[in-house]
Order: sequence, then structure tokens, then C-alpha cells
Amino acid sequence: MAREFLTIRQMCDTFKVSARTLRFYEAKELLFPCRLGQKRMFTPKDRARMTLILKGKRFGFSLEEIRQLLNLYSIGDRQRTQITTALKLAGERMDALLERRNELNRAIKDLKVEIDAGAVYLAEIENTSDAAQ
Amino acid sequence: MSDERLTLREMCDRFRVTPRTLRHYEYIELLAPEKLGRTRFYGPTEIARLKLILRGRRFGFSLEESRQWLLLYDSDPENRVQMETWIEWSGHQLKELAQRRVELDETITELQRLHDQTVEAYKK
Repeated sequence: MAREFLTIRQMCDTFKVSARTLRFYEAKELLFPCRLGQKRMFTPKDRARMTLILKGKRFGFSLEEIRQLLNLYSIGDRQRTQITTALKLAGERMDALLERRNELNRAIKDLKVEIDAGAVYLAEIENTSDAAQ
Repeated sequence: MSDERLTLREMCDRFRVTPRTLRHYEYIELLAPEKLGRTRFYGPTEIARLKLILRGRRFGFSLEESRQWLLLYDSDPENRVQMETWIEWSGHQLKELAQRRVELDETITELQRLHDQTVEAYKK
């Protein structure tokens, strides 16, 4: 099984992705299926790459980052560089997410303050118009 | 001070936005700077409007919502309707932001889990 080539349909079933996604990854040079006439035949290496692509996506990496990570595999240091780089990218993304959460928390806090201030303002003009009557 | 007029460049510097953003807001009729030849000048009204647009954006309001909300200003000298609308919309927006934070928390937890898994797997 491991040595077999897979058709695009089989790849879709194996990885639960659409044919369009696979063609897109090929165009972006993330996958390199062979051609049998018009048909794409995905190699065992493509399958290994696909597993890593999906993992990279779960990490929230861009396709370009994933492409660069995949190319590090060929360095041949038992993936040391590849994994170190992936962890570094994950760290940067984590920092960005935490910063976004901080900003979100600030926005929520400020919005609450503004709603309260608005309610006070409305109560005041209500009083003023009552007093005028 | 109240009749100050800023150029596009000065607006960008003060509000930390790009020229492209300001031109876009003008294109969708959120801002209407005075034009002298090809130079744009932003008076107190435009400055106030931009402040409100950016405030709305920070709280996650769409530009269309900001546009509708700004329209209320002209018809309403006391700002009563505008303020009531603001409070009502903000209540919804607060829920929306809270939901975003839940999703963000999930993403952060998932990323941390993946990170730890990878480190664990590599140790072996």
C-alpha cells in the first residue's frame, strides 16, 4: 500500500479534502504528482507532504511558510532544522495571537465603559427635558 | 484650533492610517474632504468623523454600520437617537467580541497543544 500511487479521488478520500484543494497545492508547488496521461498520480512522498501540510494548516501557518518548511526536509539532518523552524514559527504566531487577545480584552473593556457613559448621557438629557417642562 | 485643516499626510500621521484607507473612506462617502486642485484638506468635521469611524472599527463595527450611524447625527441636534442607537448596537457588538474571544482562546489552546505534542514527539 505504502508504495502505491494514489489518484486524485483516492487522495481526496484519504485526506478529506477537495480535488480543487489538491490542484491548488500542486500549483503552489507543495505537491508534485506524476502524470499518467491526463491523470495525476500522487506519490508516497506527496502523501507524507500532505500530512505535514494539514498539520501546518492546523498550526495556522500560511501556505508559503508551509512550502518553506517542507523544503527543509531535504536538508537531511533528521528533520532537526525543519522542526526547530516550525516551533519558532509557532512561537511567533502564539505571540501574535496573545497580542490580539490583549487588544480584544481592552476593546471589550472600553466598549463597556462607552455604553455606560452613553446611558448616563441619555439620562441627563432626559432630566434636562423633564426640568424644562 | 477648532478650524484647523489637515492635509492627507497630516491625517495619516495623526491617526496612524494609510493614504489608501483615507481615499477608500472618501470613495465610499464616509469622508468628504475639501479639495483644492489635487490637494485634500480635512476640516474639524472630517476629523471628528474619522475619529468615530476608527472607534467603530476598533469595536468591530462594519464601515456600513458606521456610515449609517454617522447619518443619524445630522438629523438629531441633541444626539439622542444617535446615542440610543450606539448603545443598542454596542450591546450586540459586545456579544460579538465575546464570541471572538472564545474562538481566539480555542485557537491559542490548540496551538499550545500542537506545540507541546511536537516537542514531545521530537524528544523520543
